[in-house]
Amino acid sequence: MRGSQLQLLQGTLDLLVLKALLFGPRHGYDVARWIEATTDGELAIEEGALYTALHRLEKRGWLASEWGASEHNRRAKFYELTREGHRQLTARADTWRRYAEAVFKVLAAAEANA
Amino acid sequence: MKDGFQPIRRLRRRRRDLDEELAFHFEQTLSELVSRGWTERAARDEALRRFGDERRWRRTIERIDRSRDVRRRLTEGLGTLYGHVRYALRGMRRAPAFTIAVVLTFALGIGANATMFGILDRILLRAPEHVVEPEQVRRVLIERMHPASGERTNVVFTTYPDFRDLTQGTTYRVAAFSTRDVTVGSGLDAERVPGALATANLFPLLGVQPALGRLFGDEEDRLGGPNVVVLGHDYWRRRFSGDPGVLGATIDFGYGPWEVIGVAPEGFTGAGLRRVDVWLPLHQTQEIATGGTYWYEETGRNWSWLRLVARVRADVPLATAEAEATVLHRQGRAAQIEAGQYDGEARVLAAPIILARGPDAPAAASVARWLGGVSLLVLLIACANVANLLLARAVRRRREVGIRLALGVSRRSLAALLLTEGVLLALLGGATALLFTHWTGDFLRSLLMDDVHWAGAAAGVRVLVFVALLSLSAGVVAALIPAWQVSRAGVLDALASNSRGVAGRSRTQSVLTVAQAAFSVVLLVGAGLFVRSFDRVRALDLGFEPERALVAWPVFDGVGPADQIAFFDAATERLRAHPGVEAAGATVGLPFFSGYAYGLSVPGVDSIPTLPTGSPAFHAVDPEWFDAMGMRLSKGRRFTEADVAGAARVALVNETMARHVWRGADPIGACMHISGEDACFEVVGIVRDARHMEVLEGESMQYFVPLAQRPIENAPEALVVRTRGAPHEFLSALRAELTGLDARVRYIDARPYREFVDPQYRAWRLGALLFTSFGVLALLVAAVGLYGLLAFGVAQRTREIGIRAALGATRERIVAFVVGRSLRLVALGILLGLLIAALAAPRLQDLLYETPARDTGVFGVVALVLLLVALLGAAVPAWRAVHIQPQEALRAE
Repeated sequence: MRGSQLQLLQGTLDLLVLKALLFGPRHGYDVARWIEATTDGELAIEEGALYTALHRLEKRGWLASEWGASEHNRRAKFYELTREGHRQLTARADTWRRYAEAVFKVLAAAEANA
Repeated sequence: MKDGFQPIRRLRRRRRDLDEELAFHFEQTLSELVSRGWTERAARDEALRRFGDERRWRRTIERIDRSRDVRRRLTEGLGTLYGHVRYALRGMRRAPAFTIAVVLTFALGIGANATMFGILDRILLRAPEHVVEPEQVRRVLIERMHPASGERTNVVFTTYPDFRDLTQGTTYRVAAFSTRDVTVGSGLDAERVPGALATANLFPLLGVQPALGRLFGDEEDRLGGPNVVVLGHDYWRRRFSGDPGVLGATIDFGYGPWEVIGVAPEGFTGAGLRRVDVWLPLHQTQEIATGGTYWYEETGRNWSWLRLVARVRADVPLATAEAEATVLHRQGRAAQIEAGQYDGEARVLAAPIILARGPDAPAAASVARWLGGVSLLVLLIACANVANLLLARAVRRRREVGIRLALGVSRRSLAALLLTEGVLLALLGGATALLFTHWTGDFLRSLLMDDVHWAGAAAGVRVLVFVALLSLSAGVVAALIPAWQVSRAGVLDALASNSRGVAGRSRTQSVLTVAQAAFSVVLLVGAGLFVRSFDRVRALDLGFEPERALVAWPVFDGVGPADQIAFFDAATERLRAHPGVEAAGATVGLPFFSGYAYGLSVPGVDSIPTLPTGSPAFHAVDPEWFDAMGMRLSKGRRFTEADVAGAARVALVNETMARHVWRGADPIGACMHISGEDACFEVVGIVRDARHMEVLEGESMQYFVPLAQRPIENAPEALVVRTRGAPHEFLSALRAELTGLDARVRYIDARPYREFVDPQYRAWRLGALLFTSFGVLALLVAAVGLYGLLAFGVAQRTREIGIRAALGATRERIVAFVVGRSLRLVALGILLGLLIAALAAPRLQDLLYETPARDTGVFGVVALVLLLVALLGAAVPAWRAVHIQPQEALRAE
């Protein structure tokens, strides 16, 4: 745990969750650990918000859920991308990338002119 | 699983799932932290910290889950419905005969209801069109003692001075109107159209806005005002093709040109329901029409001709307004009350604007209400029939059902499938019914109340909505029983049985058969009672013969009495010479049309008695008038051409008058003084009794003097013509004959005499006709249902019957086996129906005439008819059963 974590930008969580599920079904705990590990714990994500996002995306039909057995043979709820979820992930990732690149360009230009 | 309230079960399941999901999450977090060396306590705190505000997140997630559930169920439901509809449609296409039978059955039942709803909606449920806030609008009646009978009656027509008294009220506003036919144009092209004279405040009082131009105001509705007219929408479209340029045009009603200033909105009929083609300002028109203002003065208190309508202030209780009006009314009549000439207890009543809800509702409205109930009964029979058919089919599809159940289709969705099918069939029936009512509706409506203006687009929409709702519920009702049966049937039971019926089904069918028979009996008993009443009323001897008579009365335009008399003389002469005429005579005073009473004194008789029908009615008639009317003399001599003015004055009295005035003594030779004249009219004969104003009135006193000797010098009012052929065929010939006689006669109005008498038979005619139609309809539906059931049963049991035949069963036994049970059920239904009818019929008593509500003849005939129809329905299946060949039957399955 670091002293200061980054607050999440609006709408980013959905994207992270979708991406976390790109490599196959996971349960909520797994999704949380994966995001934490991948971002080196830089992002401050309340796990409650994470579960809310999972349920919200399921309601929208981007995720499907199923009860299954965990690695320790415990009953757990697994989430999985639907076809629509794949489509959304591609579209959103693209948007996010273009957005970030645009912002980087501005930041880079500012440094050069300084 | 099955028990518990659905939404609560779903809520519990969502909570359980979420609990489990989060419990797993916390356990995982905890075990990982502990394995990394955290203490149990610190690990728990850390897990909770990472999760955030648990209660808040839970609430959010639960909300999301709930809406997810709702959305999912909706999608699934629609998908299932779509599937059901497709399946049902496929089934319907596969069995077209069945589909047609069911759709027609529904169409008959729903059509009967749609028609009756259209009628009841207009006369009972809705206020007249364009009346704003109709609850506050009331028809003004005056309840007072009838001077002759001593009974309290509600008087609809009032006088102008009485109206003026009431206008001083502060708790309400009041307007007056009078409907009458007016003549447009002149000569043979002239047309009589329904008109209304109205005070200008009638329009704002009702809240109506013109469709075109403007409505007349106080400055036009006054004595000596301008001649202006507002056209009815219907008339504007018919005569002026809906031309907006009609404003400023003039119409000839007689009395000079009248300028069109506006058009009333579509369907506007004022405070009543009768069509109005022209609206005229009351004060101006009345002054011209009567050629004076005596109706306007205090003397007008003897002439009741106005109908009043009031809008009671919203903040005032009805009783307060009535009390204020009553005080004003009695004040206005104070002098007469003082003199004992008017009832001091007279009260002003504010009756609902909807006539059929008021104390003076016509009998036809009451019959219509009954018929509304009866049509529901017809629909119930139809539903029972459809239920039976669906059930029979469901049994045939038992194997299919069993297989579906075994394949995991839930019973609920099977039942839903049946319900979908029923509703679809009913909706098809409803659509067919709409076509059907389109054709029959007009006929029925005009039969019911021909003076009601039925048009109105809003009414169409209401009927449409009604039919849709009714179809929906009829479909559900009809499919409910089969659906219930199917959902109860066990899988194995269904699979194991061949397609023979089981006890549950046949019990349900038995109940339906009994119910159908019982309902049919109830309807037919109603029909029988009305038919009998109608017959007995029709058979009544009126004392005259309206069948071949017609009445003609000329509409004069500024012609004095002397010239009017001359016209009648010439007209009578002309008609008598016509080959199509048997007799013709002019008259003052005409049964069912107009009555007059003058002061009368008879020497030797202290006072002329009064009967409930009033004091003796005066008639002044041509000698040939009695022939034209078909009235006969019972004693003495009739009038002759010798009884002219100046000759000895003579009179005839009717039997009732002879009995009541002379009390058994022979009136012939007696003397009567009419209207205070000194000269004496000598009674020369007695006329057989005839009805005066009503088919069902008590006896009435009438007397007659020769037209030439009449004591009051007014012109005759009408001609009675007895034709050789049918009266209505003579109408145009009569108009042509008389129109040329005098250019100042604007219009000759002529109608078959029946038109004045027939409306009084309406309630019985209507009851007889509609009860019979509905009854026959019900019988037909029930008979077809019974036939279908038996035929189906025979087809189902072919094998069994064949075995019985092979084992040597006699024909009688086979017939008894096939139809015996059903016929016993019908017999039970008949008994039940007779019982219900016997309990319900007395409520009809007021509408019947000289027919006891439990008329044994009617009950007997109905029972017999039903039994006969049942036997007929059973005959063919029985015949088929008897002719089953055992060998073929055994091979059948």
